[in-house]
Amino acid sequence: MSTVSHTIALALPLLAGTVAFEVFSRYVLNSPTLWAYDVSLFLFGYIGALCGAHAQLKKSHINVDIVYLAVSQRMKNLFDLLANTLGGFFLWVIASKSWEKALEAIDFGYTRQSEWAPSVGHFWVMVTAAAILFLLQLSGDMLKDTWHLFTGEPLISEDEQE
Amino acid sequence: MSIELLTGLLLLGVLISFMLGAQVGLALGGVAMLIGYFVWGEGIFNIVPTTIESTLFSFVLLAIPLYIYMGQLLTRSGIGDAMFKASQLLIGRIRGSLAISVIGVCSMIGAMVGIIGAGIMTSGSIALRPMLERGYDKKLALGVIMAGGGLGILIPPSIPMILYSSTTQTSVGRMFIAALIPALISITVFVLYIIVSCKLNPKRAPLGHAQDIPNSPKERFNTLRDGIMALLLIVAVLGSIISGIATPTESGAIGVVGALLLALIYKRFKLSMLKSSGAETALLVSVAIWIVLGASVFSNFHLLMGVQGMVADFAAGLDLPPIMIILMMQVIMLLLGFIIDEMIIVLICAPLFTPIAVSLGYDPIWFGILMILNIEIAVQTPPYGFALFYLKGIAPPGVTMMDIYKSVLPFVMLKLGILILCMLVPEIVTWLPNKLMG
Repeated sequence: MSTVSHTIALALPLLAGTVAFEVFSRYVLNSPTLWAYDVSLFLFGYIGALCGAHAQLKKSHINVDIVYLAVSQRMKNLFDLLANTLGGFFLWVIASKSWEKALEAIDFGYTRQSEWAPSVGHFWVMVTAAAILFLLQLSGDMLKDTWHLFTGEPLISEDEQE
Repeated sequence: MSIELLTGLLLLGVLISFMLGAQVGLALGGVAMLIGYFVWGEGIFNIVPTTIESTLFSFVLLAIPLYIYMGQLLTRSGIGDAMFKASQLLIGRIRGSLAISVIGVCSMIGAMVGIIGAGIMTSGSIALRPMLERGYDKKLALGVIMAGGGLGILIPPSIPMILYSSTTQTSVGRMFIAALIPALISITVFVLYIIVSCKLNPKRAPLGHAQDIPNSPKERFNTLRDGIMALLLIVAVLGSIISGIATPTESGAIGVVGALLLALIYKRFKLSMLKSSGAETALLVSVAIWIVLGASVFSNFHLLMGVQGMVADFAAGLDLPPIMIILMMQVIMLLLGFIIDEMIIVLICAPLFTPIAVSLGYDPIWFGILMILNIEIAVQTPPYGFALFYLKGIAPPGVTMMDIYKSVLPFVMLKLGILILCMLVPEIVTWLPNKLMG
């Protein structure tokens, strides 16, 4: 997950460069680009969607921890299992609908409704991959929670995790 | 199923999932799709790809990674700190000076961003660490970040104001000018609160952080130079928007290039800085995007089920004086702000409420500014105001949601006071645009 995320993070200078180049091209070269708008939006989508799994690995996703922090470890495991089942359901919906869109876009050659009109098939494949990666990370967490809930012992010790 | 029952079920589902500590974005999307499946069947899932498209292909939201990246680069290159040090050079001997600087600096950063989430995350990335390191009360430090960052939608250019104008056919220019006096009142009130609160409880803001005030003339010159350069960067970003050279999103990219140039000029640039800033930004952006995605699925589903009709019927059925109807609308928007983000509130409420307000004889610009002030409060109000979660996202690990709740309360009360003042004295809002634009 972190490899995907760190690779995607390299897209940020590219994103800023693309948008800044559009301004430069418009005013200095007096020739606005056709492609910068779509490229920057694609880069934004890739960064936002694909790093979701890494954020889950890092426990960076935001939650309301008022009740959660007040319960025992086993209860936390149970809470996590229920919450991740709900989250997993939503991710499954995203993955399956995005895959449908990807097949449709590739079959019919769908493009963005812009002047440059690039193909959108890759975008929907990426969203599917992002949801599946996120789902895999949630499944891994659920496995650890189930193990801890029933045995009272962590599945992976803190040393091993590091 | 009636819309009232459905709304009740949705809120109950969200409450339970939040109580379980679920990820906010996944919980909102999951609850909406689960209940939607039982009400409508599998067809409701088609809302997901259209929402993904509108979220990830939004040029407005594209401002988020650019401004956060700029914030991260400024933080890592030490230029963000330079802004605070420069302001400390000017007002450092006043108790609570760093918190006052935060209100000023963060409101400028927030203004550049124009979206509450990005405003708070950018401001927090720069300002939270210096305050905590200098022993400021955690609650004061978090509260001023929220108050300063939240001002972003009130100080022009503001994305919610542009959305309001576009949905109600009112002038964006008038909205921007009308917001200036309420924004100035807000900044003054926050600064006064910090001064009085630190005077009453000096432990909240320790004096004598010698590291903030340089001694030698050379150090003073360098501090002032760095501060001025950082300020120039903000002026360039704001100026490019106001002059119409660039959109707010493009100005974010100009800001990134400017931050990199400043780091290069002052020999603070390292390749590792570019990499670590990118990794941190990607993580923060992803957290924000998954929240927006889940919240948008939730909101779109609720809209599709007819929540707009329910609200309109409710308002029409009330036999109340006009100002009470306006007050009622404010309460509804406040409640909506607990569960949906500022742009969605504007898009739902502006076309729904503004015609009613105008038919009651009120100025649409005044009503629009009330809406912006209200949203600023709503998204920061515990327990589920959206901005609270953005702040949690950038806060150090030791900060709990309860710390954040306690930190925002005084500022929420102050903002509520300003909202009521603008509601009772409409001239605060309408005088300046009428004077300048007739």
